Amino acid sequence: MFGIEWIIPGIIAVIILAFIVIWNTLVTLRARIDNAWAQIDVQLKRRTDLIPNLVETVKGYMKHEKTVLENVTKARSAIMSAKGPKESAKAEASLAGALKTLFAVAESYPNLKATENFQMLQEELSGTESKIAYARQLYNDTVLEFNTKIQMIPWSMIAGMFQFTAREYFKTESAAERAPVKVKFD
Amino acid sequence: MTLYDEIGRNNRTTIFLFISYAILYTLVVYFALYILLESDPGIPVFTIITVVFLGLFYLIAFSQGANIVLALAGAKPLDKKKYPYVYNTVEGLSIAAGIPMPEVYMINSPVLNAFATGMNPKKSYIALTTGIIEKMNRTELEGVIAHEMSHIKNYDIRLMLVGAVLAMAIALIADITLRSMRFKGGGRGESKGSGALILVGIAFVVLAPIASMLVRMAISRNREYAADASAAMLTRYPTGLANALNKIKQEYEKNPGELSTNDALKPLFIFEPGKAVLNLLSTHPPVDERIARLKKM
Repeated sequence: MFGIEWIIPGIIAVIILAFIVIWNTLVTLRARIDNAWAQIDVQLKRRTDLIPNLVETVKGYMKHEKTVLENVTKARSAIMSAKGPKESAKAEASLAGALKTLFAVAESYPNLKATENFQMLQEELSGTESKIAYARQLYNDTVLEFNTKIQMIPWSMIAGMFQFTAREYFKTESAAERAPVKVKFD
Repeated sequence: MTLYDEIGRNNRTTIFLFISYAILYTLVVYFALYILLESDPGIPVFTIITVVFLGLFYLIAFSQGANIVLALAGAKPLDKKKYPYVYNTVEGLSIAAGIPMPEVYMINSPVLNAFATGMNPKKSYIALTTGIIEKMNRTELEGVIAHEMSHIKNYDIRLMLVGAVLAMAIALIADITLRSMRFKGGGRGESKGSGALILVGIAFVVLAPIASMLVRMAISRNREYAADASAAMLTRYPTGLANALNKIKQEYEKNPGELSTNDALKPLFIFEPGKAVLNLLSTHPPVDERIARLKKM
């Protein structure tokens, strides 16, 4: 039934099949990166949405901490008006720093800490910070998988031909995010 | 051994064990047919019977669903307002795992244990006892939840179900074959089959259910190691889970109270009490070995 004249068509069929499988793998891994990046944004937005409630809750108790509250509100406005990924990243980082300071200062207001609303917000914001971290972790994991794959043979050949280029890892660039919180009691 | 190596090794072991299991099943069907028909059954008949048996059992078991498991364990949905940290942790870890968030359930019991169920990450459930929620600190609870999340993400529950289905099928086939032999008794006259092969077949069919049990338990233990490694990958903090396992072990040594009497639920839990020594019949590897591996990551 299958004579020697089937060898060439057979080889071509195998090559086409291999190409399809490799292409699909690369496309899937790349799509996962985009999805993971979008996930980070979802959590960032959640954090931003919690701010108004937080400021309202805290205002009455922390009357003398004008700068702390202002920084939080300013950071939020910066996020809403940010254009482009660089501005957004900077604004998000400044919000993260401002929140860290706010919660550190709140430690010296036991009446505030005792309120149910504040505790709930604290838990929600802390949970959201964790989720942002997990989302960034997932993003980096998907980037690792993709970047590794496009260097491995035979995926590297197709990747080179069709411009599947390595993606950047998420790194904390802002000094504000890395710095420990300094609280001044004046 | 690094985290990545550990995960790779576990998956290769699973594949090896599962292939062995599949071969076992195929041989059982072959020998059963050989004994019943007293001759070589022929490829078409053999294939049809293998597939039909498996398919039927799988469909029935698959459709049973996780609800039965949850009901058996007495689990109720977790109150998000009462345990926001637990809820947020499950959500956060599901983000890290890249799977939809499982539904969180709670079992009212002082015993320290947790399990995961669900055939598909899209519809999965994690259940935690009130005991474990209250006694674990944050990193320990994260480790436990990450371990359960890993079972879901790695499709372990489905894997164990396939294993259980194969076991039932093997047991049933062995049973039918041995029963029918009683009616064949004496005169073999016209038989087309080799007497020696029939004897080998009988031995095989008798021992198969035991072998299948051993293989299934080996697969279960292997998947537990895999879930530990995947959990460490999710939290990037293997010590959390290691500490949790240590705490659970100490609690069980103080109060050895069983969580559930149902054997079907055993492989789903994070810890199997009473098995300090590696026992061929245990669903979980010994705790000390699990802790040691986590500490090395």
